[in-house]
Amino acid sequence: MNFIYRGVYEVQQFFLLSVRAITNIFRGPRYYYDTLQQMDVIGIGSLKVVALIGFFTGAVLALQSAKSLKAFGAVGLTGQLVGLSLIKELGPVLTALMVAGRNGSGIASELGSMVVTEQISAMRALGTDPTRKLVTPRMFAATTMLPLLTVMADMFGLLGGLLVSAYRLRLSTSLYWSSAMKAIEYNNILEGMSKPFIFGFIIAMVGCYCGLRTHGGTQGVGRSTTQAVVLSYILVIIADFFVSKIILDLRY
Amino acid sequence: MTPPPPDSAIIKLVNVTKSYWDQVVLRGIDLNVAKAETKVVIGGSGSGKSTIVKLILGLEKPDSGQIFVDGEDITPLKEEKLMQMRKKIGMVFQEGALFDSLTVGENVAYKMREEEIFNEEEVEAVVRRLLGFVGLEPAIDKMPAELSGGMRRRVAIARALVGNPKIMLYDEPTAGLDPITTRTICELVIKLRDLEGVSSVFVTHDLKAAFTLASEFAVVRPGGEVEFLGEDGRLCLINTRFAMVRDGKILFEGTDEKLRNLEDEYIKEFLS
Repeated sequence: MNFIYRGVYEVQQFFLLSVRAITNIFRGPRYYYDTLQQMDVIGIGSLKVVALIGFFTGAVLALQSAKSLKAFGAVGLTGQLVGLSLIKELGPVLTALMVAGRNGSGIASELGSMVVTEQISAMRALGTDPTRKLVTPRMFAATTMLPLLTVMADMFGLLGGLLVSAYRLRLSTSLYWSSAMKAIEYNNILEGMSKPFIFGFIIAMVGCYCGLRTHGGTQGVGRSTTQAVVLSYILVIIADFFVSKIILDLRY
Repeated sequence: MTPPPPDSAIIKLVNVTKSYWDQVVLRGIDLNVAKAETKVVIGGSGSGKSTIVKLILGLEKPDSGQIFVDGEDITPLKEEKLMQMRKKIGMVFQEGALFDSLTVGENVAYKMREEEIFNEEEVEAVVRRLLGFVGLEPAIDKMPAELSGGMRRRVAIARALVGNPKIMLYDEPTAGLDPITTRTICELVIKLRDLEGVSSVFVTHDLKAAFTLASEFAVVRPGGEVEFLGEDGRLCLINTRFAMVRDGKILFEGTDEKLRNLEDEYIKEFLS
């Protein structure tokens, strides 16, 4: 019974923190400098690595799909396959997982260390609401930066696919590009761009929540960090399913 | 309903209980701190003494009972009201709890910059004055990680003094420090008590520090120099009293002389 009670309590606290993080945006005081700093850490900081994984994801997609498409004599559709898979699924999800591993864990361990060294308490004692100074800037930065990072991943993925198609599959680049562009519709872009908003929110809020509920010294910080990464991975994948489902339903 | 506290008590806890999940920390605490009085709260680890200061500051809510700060019951207050209330209070945390992304000067200036009503010159002047008070003005541009444990505690005291709070709360400010640094911290606390009339709660398990506070006082010599004098048998400091906590209850409250003469087995063992 205690186990269930505790589970419900945790979910409730997570939602309360999320609601406060959002409502803080509409009512001051706001911490613009902290927000910009977080946007830099999450956005610029993840740029290179996201571009890198995007590039190789696109490349391997082209490599693998060309083999299957060859059986149907449809190698020309490689661009379409790479483009659609990247923009709808792999771009958003892989970027989110990368950022969850990089920044979600960073957020959890930073806030966790602040909890165990009583810096969060000190902040409250000095008259600052930690949800305003720490949570909202991270939430805002992650939800705005993740879509941009996803665009980067998508672009580099298409480029990776293009290079593989051109140099390995001996497809003409214009064929690759036109088949990719023709396949991508407004709906796909909507899907591909709405996911990272949600994923970014999940990553930042899970990181903040796990960090802020840290207890038990430095060992607790390690535990919170692990929990934050595992939980945000799980939630991102589950959310991905439901967002895809909703958008597919909207279409018909 | 409990009547409001008499005017002399600046902090008053009435039958306060607190538990975390199934672990009971405080089982009915009554505590009074008079104006300009220092209450030294002693007790073993896990006795719940640190929880007392967190409750007074409103960082945590009690399960039952009332807490009066400066005549106002803070238990029903929401976080925003508590923020206002906390301006009257300075708190020194265990290990200092300095923000490690900010320099020493920025740490001390934090509260003033948050309030956004002071210009940079005013902030700078206050920061220099307070760091001078704790003897650390040269360290203004250092990062907290470069400081020793004792220096961090002193910076924390300086940070807590921003806004001249009437009440100071100390959570084990001397834990893990060498005797000389402990002495420096105690002298700062005595100076605040005797020269500034600050009321305080000093939570500690360091008996040497506790008895230093209870047996010495500060006077200002005509030249402006501060001197520390002992009680020497004729005097008895009444502005510093002890409260001993054990298993979430107050075991004893009174002066250090009374504490030493008690016949309680646990207290004797604790003091020896």
